[in-house]
Amino acid sequence: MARNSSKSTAGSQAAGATRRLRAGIGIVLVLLLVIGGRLFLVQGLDFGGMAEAAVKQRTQVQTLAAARGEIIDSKGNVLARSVIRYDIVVDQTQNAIGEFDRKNAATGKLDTISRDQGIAELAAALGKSDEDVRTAVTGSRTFNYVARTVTPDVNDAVTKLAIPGIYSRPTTQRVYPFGAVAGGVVGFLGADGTPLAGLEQTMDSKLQGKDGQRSFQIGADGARIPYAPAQETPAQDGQSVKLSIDSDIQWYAQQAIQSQVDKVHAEWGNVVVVEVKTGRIIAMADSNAPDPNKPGATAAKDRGVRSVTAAYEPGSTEKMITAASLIQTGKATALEHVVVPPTYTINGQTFTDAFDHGYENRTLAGIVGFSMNTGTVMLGSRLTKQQRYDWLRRFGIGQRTGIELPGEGSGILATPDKWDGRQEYTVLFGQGVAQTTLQTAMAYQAIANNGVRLKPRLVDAYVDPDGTEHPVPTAPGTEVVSPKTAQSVKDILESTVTDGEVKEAKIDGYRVGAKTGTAESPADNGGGFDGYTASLVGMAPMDNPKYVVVAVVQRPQGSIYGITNGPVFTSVMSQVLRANNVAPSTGKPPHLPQFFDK
Amino acid sequence: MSAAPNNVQSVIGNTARALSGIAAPSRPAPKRSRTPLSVVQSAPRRRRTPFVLFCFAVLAAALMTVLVLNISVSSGQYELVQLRSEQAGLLRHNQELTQKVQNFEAPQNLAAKAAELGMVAATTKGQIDLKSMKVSGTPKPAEKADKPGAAIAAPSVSGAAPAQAASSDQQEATPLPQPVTAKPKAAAASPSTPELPSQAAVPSQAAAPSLPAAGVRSGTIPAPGQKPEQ
Repeated sequence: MARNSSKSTAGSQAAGATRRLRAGIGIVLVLLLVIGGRLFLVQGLDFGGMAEAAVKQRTQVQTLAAARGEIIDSKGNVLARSVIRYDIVVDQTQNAIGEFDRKNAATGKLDTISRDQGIAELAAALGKSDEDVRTAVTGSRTFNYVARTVTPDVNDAVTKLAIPGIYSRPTTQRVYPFGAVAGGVVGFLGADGTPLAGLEQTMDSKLQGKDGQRSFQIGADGARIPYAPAQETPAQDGQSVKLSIDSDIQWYAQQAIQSQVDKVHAEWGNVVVVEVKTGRIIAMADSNAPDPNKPGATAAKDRGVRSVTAAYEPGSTEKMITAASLIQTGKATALEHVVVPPTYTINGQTFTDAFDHGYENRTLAGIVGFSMNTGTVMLGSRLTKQQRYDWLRRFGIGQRTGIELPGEGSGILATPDKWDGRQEYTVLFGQGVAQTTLQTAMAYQAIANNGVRLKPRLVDAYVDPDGTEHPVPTAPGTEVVSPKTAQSVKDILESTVTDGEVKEAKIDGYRVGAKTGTAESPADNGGGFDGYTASLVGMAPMDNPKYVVVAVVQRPQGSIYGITNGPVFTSVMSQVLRANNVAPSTGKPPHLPQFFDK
Repeated sequence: MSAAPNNVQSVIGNTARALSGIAAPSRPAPKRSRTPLSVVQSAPRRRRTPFVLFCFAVLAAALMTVLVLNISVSSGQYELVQLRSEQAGLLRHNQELTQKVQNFEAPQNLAAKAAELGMVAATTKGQIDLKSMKVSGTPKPAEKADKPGAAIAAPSVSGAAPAQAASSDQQEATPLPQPVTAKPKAAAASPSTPELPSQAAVPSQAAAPSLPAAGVRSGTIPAPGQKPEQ
């Protein structure tokens, strides 16, 4: 009995323990399940987006801005570059407190600064008046500019002031250290960074790189969490563009043409310097060139590059083309004998010269040397109308040169069927046809380069951010005339300086060939002519021409006969020869006779 | 190996079963020779304590290492941020100075400066042929010509003027190594030129190439490139 009862008591006790044990395990399991399920929900499924929100809160995504490439000249001088600048901005609501505490770096204590003092210090740091700064920081706006694009030094000074509500925002600015020197060629960017002019515009795809991106996680104090996942796509900086422009020559040419334009009160003027063997533009100078740092200060009409945009009637410089085509087609030689009358009438069109003369026994060299329209028309009419047109085209007249600048003009060369009775002859001496200064320069470049016309170019090379240069090869040229013809024409041009009327183009130590041009310029309103275009184009040294220089002034005031571009040409050409260490000329000038004896 | 038959439960619960009706002596004692008991020299038991201590030590060491590593990496991160900001500051400063140099190199600024110092451009040049020792050309000494005509304005690079204003207080303390002959002629030739101010700013900068102080915005880590700007 006792055995039984003891057994049953023991049994019930054991059963109770097991139940409790099981219940406990059950509860634990249920709790585990709940927790596990919750864990799964939170970690695995993330219904509330908590984890995502947390990661988002920690993750910082930054755009790594690609640096815009530089524009440099042929000597490596920087003409355009991007620099770090800061906009100083204000949250006016935060600034509207009477005084604030600032830690004094020297004493390590907190100084109490009044708002007025803060404003005064800020104004001093920014170089602005107290009044301006006070206006900018006072109000209820949460964002307002106090100063824009200040230098890092100024930004540091401002940040040190620790004025409440004053923040700075990094930004980039395009600066042009050489300002107006080659300003038009380099171009400029708009306020939003859009390229608006010059090479900045045409070279934009090379200059602008590709933005990168960086994402990483930060802790509450703003420092980066070392082991957290991070991604970085580096920015690809833009390529730099190396120009053929020599900024010293460019400055010299700009100075020379600006002085000339001011002196003769011309509308505008320009100078183009071309390297004969390569077609590289050494200088492209325009009067009133814009300073790309402040393009707004220059009149809109002056902001481009007139050397390639403005087409005008060139005048007598075109006689070179007529002479070259006559010699090349065998219709005349450089010493062709012509008896030139005082006036010459053909098909009812009468032509006269700029000077009075009787019947003269002239050579073709003498006709070009003294710039006689009569003789040019007499000989030039040996060419058919189509030939005259074709030869002008061959020298690049009426076609864009393809230079890397926006808004290039093609000039105006009407087809022969549209020429009127007078125009078919005037094109022989450069009236009734319009071209840019660059086109004139390249026509002469063809003669200087033994008859091979090249494509002009401003870009020498593209430079990768790591410094690798990718030179732009010289495009193969087109042969316009034979080397023999080119030599004849060179002799004519040199005799024009030695024996003809362009003696003002002489340069000590160098043999020079040159031709002047004086054209009537059509009025902008279309009614007749209202001024003149005076130009001088020349090459040197004639024993092996290396450079062609063209100088042009448009609508100078006063008598056109007193105006000469000689000093501009000689000073620029001398500077170019001197700067490039061109050896003095050797050999004897040809001295082609300007007259013939019967 | 008990003497009781195997099919008899010997215990009930946790108490020994009462032996009933079986007289142990009545059973014939099994004739089995028993191994005589003897004192066995027990193998010396290895004490566990040192091993446990060792484990704890390793654990503690590992934890400490991890902790130290973590701390050093974290502090390294702070240092990195600090150095980065210093580097960025130096880069900015360098860029600033480079820009000033480039500005001085601008041909029109050089020309203005040269004119200010009384230099005159040469208009002619001669060449000496080293082979024949002949002088060609007609070189003449440069003469002071009448005014050189047009002057191209100095580049108006923004930011140069305020920089001078900002450091004007330092400038007063720093004697400027400027020639006394410097006249404000260039300013007259090119009005609103930033050339003079920026030039004046250079010596003071050289005297105090101050870097951006760390933690200027009280209490935050200076991480200009990594901290979102407000």
